[in-house]
Amino acid sequence: MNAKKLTVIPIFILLVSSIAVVYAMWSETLRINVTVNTGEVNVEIVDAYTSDETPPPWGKKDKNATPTAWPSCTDFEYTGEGWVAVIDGDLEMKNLDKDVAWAEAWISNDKHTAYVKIHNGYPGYEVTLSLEIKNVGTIPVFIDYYIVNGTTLTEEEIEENNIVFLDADGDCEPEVLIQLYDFLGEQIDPGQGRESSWRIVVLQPAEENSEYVISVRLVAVQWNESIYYME
Amino acid sequence: MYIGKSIIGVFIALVMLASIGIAYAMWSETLRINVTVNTGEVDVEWSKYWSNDTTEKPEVPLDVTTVKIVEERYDEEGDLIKLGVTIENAYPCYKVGIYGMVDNIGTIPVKLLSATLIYDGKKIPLELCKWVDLDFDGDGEPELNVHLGLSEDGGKDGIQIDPKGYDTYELVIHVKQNAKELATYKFEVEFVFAQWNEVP
Repeated sequence: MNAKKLTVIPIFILLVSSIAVVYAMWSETLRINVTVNTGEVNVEIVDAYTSDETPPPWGKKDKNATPTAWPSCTDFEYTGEGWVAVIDGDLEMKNLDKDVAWAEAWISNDKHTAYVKIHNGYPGYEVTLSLEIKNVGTIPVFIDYYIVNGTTLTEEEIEENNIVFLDADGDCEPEVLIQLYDFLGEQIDPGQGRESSWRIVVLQPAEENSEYVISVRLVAVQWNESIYYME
Repeated sequence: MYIGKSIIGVFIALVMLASIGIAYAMWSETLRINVTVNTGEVDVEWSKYWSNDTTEKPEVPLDVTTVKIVEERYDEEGDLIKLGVTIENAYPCYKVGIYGMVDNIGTIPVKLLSATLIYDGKKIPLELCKWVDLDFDGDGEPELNVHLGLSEDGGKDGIQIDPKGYDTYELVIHVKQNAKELATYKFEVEFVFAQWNEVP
């Protein structure tokens, strides 16, 4: 019993002395307190209007357009939102003496979608949609892509081929087309905007009393992640 | 008979007294060492600080993300011991280096004993030259990562800082793809510098 006590006491003393060594290490502490507040990528459509907004008989005289090129069946791809063909070409414009059709444009409440509705459209009718977008976020952006009825188009592709034919029923006979111009490839800083106009044409295969939907999505990307960003 | 015994007794007493007298007569001198230990001091401070944030488009000018560094706390001796860094309007892929120069204003060489990342109630050891992910919402997809490095080795002796010497540390903060818009992420880095001979 006494021998045990004699063993425990030196161990205890050793422990206490080792603790004393730890406490004896002098030190100082420096700190850095970091707060990272992230910004926001936010682009809105601030204005959308057409070239023929007033209903007849008080509106403008109609314009007709004819594409200079026509897609073949092999140009079409099914995207889930119809068949789409993108080819190179232009439009031959013609001013008419009658006011038959008209088109209105409006913006959704969240300002992320613009709608165009052509009233009393007919084959050959052409209307121009003007769009103004604005960077209302805090980070510079690029519009990297258009997605037209499921087909993604870059600046390079639009420079080569900018007429997009849309075929709703898959018979290789497109009913409408849209001629795209460029928002792409330019940096839009916070507070800045860009404006562009696109032509929409009702084509010969369009059927009477039908509705055709053209969906164009603009994909805005924070500048440093954009495919157009050059360091 | 009695007289003889008394004479012997007196003689012995005299001899004893004489021997005691010899002992008292031994000359001596005393030498002493008086020791005073004045201890030194372990003391460091942030002496300079800056970031490498740039104006993204100087020609506009457009400064998308800004970095502000403030002096947040001093100790009782008036030494700067805490920096506050605020990064505003950050976005995925944004990366910035925060630089802090540590001066040894004490009298004992020091070494970096530990660096610890503190966020969200967690403490994570920060090793030099290693990226550490910070997952604030616990979804397994970190929103930030940080990297601690020795940017300038003032004394060319690694993590040791001699008295009147300095080292500069670089804390790189990188915003990852999973960072949310309009969010706030906070963390703290704690640097402990200890007397050199106690740090391995």
